[in-house]
Amino acid sequence: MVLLKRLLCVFFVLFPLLSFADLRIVSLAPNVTEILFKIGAGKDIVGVTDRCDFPPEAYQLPEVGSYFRPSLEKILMLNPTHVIGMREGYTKQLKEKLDEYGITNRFYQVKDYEDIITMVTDIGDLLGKPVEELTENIRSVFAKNHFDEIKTAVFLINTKPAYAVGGGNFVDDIMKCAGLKNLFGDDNKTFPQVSYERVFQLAPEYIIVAKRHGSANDISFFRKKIEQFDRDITIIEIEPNIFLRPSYRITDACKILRKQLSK
Amino acid sequence: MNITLENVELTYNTGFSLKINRLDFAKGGITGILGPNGSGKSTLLEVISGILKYDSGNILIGGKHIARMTNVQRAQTISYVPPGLDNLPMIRLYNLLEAGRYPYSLGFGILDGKDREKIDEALNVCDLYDKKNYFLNQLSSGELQRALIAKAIAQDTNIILMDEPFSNLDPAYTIKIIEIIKSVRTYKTIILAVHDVNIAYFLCDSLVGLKKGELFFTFDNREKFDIKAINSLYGVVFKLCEGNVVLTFR
Amino acid sequence: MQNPQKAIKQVTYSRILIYLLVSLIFSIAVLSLSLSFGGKFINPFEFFSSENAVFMSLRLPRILADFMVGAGLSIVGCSFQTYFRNPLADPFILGIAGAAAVGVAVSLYIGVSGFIPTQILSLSFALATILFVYWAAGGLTSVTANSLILVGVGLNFFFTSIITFFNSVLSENFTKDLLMWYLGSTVFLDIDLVLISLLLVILLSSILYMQSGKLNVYLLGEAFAINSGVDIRKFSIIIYVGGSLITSVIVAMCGAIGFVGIIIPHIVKIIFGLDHRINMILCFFIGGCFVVVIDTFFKTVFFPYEVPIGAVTAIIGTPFFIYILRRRI
Repeated sequence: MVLLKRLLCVFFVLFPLLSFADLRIVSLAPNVTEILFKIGAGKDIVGVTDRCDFPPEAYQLPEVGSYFRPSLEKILMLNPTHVIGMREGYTKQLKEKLDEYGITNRFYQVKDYEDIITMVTDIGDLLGKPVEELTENIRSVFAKNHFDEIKTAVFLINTKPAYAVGGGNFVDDIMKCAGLKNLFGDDNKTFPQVSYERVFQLAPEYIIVAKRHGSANDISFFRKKIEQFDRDITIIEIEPNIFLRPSYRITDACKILRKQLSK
Repeated sequence: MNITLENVELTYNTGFSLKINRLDFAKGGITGILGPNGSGKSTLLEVISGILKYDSGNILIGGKHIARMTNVQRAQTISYVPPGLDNLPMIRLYNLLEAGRYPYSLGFGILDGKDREKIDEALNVCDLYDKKNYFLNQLSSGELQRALIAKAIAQDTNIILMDEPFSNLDPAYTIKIIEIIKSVRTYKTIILAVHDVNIAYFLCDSLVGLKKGELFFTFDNREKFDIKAINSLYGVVFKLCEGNVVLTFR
Repeated sequence: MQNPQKAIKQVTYSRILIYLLVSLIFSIAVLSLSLSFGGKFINPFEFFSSENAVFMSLRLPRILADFMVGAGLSIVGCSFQTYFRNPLADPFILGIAGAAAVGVAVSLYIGVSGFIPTQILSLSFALATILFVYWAAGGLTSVTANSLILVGVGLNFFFTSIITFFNSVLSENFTKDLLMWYLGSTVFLDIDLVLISLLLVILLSSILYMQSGKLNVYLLGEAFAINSGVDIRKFSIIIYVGGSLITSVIVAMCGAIGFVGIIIPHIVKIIFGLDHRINMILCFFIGGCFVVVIDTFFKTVFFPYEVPIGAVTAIIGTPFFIYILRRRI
């Protein structure tokens, strides 16, 4: 019995210490990179993708290729212990290969802000980092808010073709958090393709547009139409990197949006 | 080999139909098929050669049903000279004649010594030996027509069917081709579809007239050639003048 | 080339064998050299050392798949161009790529996300299309090259619009996945799967190559081929079904990689002539090596960025093709 207890002691106390001793993490998604830096695993990251631009330290790290097609050969050359990314496109095959080579890997799928909390918690468990403070912060910002008046809005993540934010995802949560009613919120698709006609028909008080290459033209088109029809619609331009990435920075997004609305 | 057609019928979806109750081509010699445009001359040749499938009836070649012959057997018995090539692929004259030896080599079409001898012989007969390495688009239309005949000769068949071998040729080439045909007439059965009544009259041992897909006349030897029947076939007036058939204008 | 003084070289079995051996040795050399390149240069003498085992297990299936794609599509393109008498005929002209894409779209939609089920679904769509095109083109009695090509082209438009429709009503993610598939990829393939399909492609290609003599005769016209003893119906079925099967296997495995199947046969035919007994061998090996070299080049130069192979074959190929074309005119 004594021996068994000792063995258990070794297992539960020493083994975790050992296993976290030398972490080499490859991040395959910008939001994962953000979370890793936030929870203090930034120094353990050995590879990122071309989209990983926050925090700025991420620029210093070696790239493993593009977000959509990371190079498996490069990942293996970095000799990682952990590979963390988002479940998208061809990741299934990538995961199978990584399993084959015995590299610990996680690919997350995120819908609403609860999923982000779950993901952060899981990454924390995986790497042995404390994340309670961070998850509490997200929870507190996103917990039920009471607003005197709820305003209506449409969130366009892309203008040509127009993709709006549907219901049940974290961007929808950001809007709720800032006191907005998403007029496409009852659409069960995450990012439904919509027509401009429908956007004007819904008559939102705000149109939120993600700033992208070429979106300036479309925004001026919206402005012209609004003037023409004498509608009372305000256009808010936002930074897609903060709003559309499922990371802890959605709290910042919520605050930015609130500030914009109070103007 | 003699060819016999019995109750051969073929109907196109355009409405044209070919109906031959009985037609015999004797062994050896040259038979000319006459008839106005659209009378079914080419169709008849294509049916005999196996390129066109007919609806009903029998075609016997040397007493054998054509339908029971394999493609290869048929190709070793009958060769067909088309009126021309629709498109000229970038190949050499020699390659065209290699196609004539395909029924004997099959598979990859690798030629042996005998095949090459036959090709050289055919080239010599058609006076094309010097041009055997020319590409098809470097040949004049007369040379191309001779090349097609050379291919049929290289195929070494008992029966040669020729569809309009003199179309679009100048007189010198026409005479050259007539000489080639005459030089092989001794050992082959030749069936020609011709427009030029004069050539047919001069060259052929027997004549067949076709009108609207049906037999109009058959003359099985030169004595029976009847210029009046030919006149009513075409609806014009030909006159015999010092052994030549001359079209008269009114 | 149009020099009539140049004596014609007779095609003999030994000459075919020499071409086959030379291209085989050349291809093996290109393939093994390509194994050296990638993120890390590996000396050919160290291919089998244990530290490189991981890289080899990644590179070998990829390079074999590249070869399979190039070789298969080129030989199919070569025979289709002659069979359909159309310089624009390529392996995808009969709607097979479209069908396979619809298969992938369906598998993405109903959520069979596994790698193999997606391939099985796209393969079965492609196979169903082969049968459908054949039936619609007139079936056993009256199928001709022209009716096949017309039905195929029509069906291609049909599939394209289905895909476009899927794209516009489904989410952004779906569109992206499908676009990724269309660009083609030879990256995450298992060596077993690659070997099986490579063997299948080699087998079917040899069946196509058996028709090379008949293709030579067919080049002069259908009537010509019949008169030379070619059973035109059997020949048509072998070319059509064989070519389509090769295309289906490749498309299901690696996506619709365009360009190779149309340009490589043209380049080979311009340089080496129209004798299919020779140029089908060369198409097979040159096409295969072309894709291997292009893929290796781009993955090495842009490392660690993965450049989709379907997108880059034309970047190198088109200028070269135009150069060849200009030089011959």
